[in-house]
Amino acid sequence: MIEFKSVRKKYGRKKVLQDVSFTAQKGNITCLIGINGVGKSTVLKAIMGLTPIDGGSILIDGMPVGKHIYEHVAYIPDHISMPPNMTVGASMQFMKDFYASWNEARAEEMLTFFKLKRSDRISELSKGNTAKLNLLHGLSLDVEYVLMDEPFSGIDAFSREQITEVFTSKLVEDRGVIITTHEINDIEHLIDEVVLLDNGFVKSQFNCEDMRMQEGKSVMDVMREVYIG
Amino acid sequence: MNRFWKLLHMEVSRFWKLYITLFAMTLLMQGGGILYVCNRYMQTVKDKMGPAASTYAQYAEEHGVVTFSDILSEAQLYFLAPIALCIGGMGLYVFLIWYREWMGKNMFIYRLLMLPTERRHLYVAKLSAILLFVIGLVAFQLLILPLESALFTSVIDQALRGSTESVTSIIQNHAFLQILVPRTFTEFVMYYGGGALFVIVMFTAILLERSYRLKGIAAGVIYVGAAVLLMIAPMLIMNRDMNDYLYPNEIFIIELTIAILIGMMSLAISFFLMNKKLSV
Repeated sequence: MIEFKSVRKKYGRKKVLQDVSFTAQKGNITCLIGINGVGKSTVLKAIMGLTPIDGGSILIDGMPVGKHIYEHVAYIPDHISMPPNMTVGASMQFMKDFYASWNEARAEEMLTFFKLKRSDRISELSKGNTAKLNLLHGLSLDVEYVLMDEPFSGIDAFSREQITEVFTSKLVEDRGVIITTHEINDIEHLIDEVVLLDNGFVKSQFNCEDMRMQEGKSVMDVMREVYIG
Repeated sequence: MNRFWKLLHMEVSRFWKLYITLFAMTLLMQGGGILYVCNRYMQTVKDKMGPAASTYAQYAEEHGVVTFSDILSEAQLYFLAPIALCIGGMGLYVFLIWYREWMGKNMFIYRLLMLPTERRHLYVAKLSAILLFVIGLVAFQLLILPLESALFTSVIDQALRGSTESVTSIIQNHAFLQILVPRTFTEFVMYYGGGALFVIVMFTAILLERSYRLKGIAAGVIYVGAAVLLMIAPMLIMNRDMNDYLYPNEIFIIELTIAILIGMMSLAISFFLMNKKLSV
């Protein structure tokens, strides 16, 4: 379980996270929703130790953030984090060299599924293919948790379809997934838990299925209530 | 393979093309300069000999012979310019080796900070890479000295040449090469230790900036200023109040102690920043 407890974070004078607490369970897809600039990406970066927090605590399976988590949690940012002059093959080799949890067979499977060529340079890939390679880097790690930052942002419909397919496959099954988005429509049917962020606070956390069953509301309905009133 | 070695290998691979360019530039500029000066010398000799066509041996008797060190002094600009460019290039690379990780939309720093290894390995790999590159450039300079000496031999007539100089004597006759290749261990510690300390202090300033951005620039400038002040403090105090009070080796030990303290403090601050404060 990933526990985010009363986390505070400010950039300069701007308080991005004021008192954010939520949990994400293994086996669930938890979606962080909020408008741009609300701190969704900051939450993921904080979990990965990529930005220091000003207060609160973050625990992953009861342990604080440290180098040991990188074999247990994969982060897929909204951009690829490899040098542009690297080839697809070299980037996979880099991951294999550094991560004991790298699953070469799965990487090969995804390479074929996404129709990526090893010899292509990252700088020459289309936006959709870059997003797919980014996904390949993250999902080819045998980790318990995967964090994804806006995986559908700015990519074409066909790439979107392929990436959505990944969510319903064994690649994501049994893992704890935290995904951020400001466009819920594409993934509403995939997610289990929703955390609504606004003005540095968690406005609401709920289980989608329970919300549908008990109150007959979709995620969009709850968002309207929370954000528009 | 240990992840530190992998990181070091990666750093070396990423600089490889630029490094070869520095080697090629040094070889071409120094070699070209020595050839040019040698040919100019031969032309001067021929002009001075005139139509009377006396022999080179007679000319050497009248005007004296020329050594490779003499030619090196004449070709100073061609010889020192590439070295200065290499030093400047390495100086710039001290910054680039960090800042490139944050450059562009595909920021590599995300991946580097998420590697399942101690973050200090990343720091030490970058530091080791810079030191290796510097040592490599010096080694290359030493390797091409005999080649340049051979160029001298091939252009200057035997009758005009002084006795053949060994690489050691070429270095001893050249003020700047004496710094590149120190004669004593104390000099080695002074020049190369000083260089390494400069890199370590600059790394701390860079990491301060990357951790605290605008405030970090101020902190970095203050830190570098304080380090410089600490290093020159013994000299300042000696000049003002304690003229000739201490022996040179005592001053050296004081400076060495201060340098080690600054180095250790810089490393401690850098590792702390990397673990706790660095932000993507």
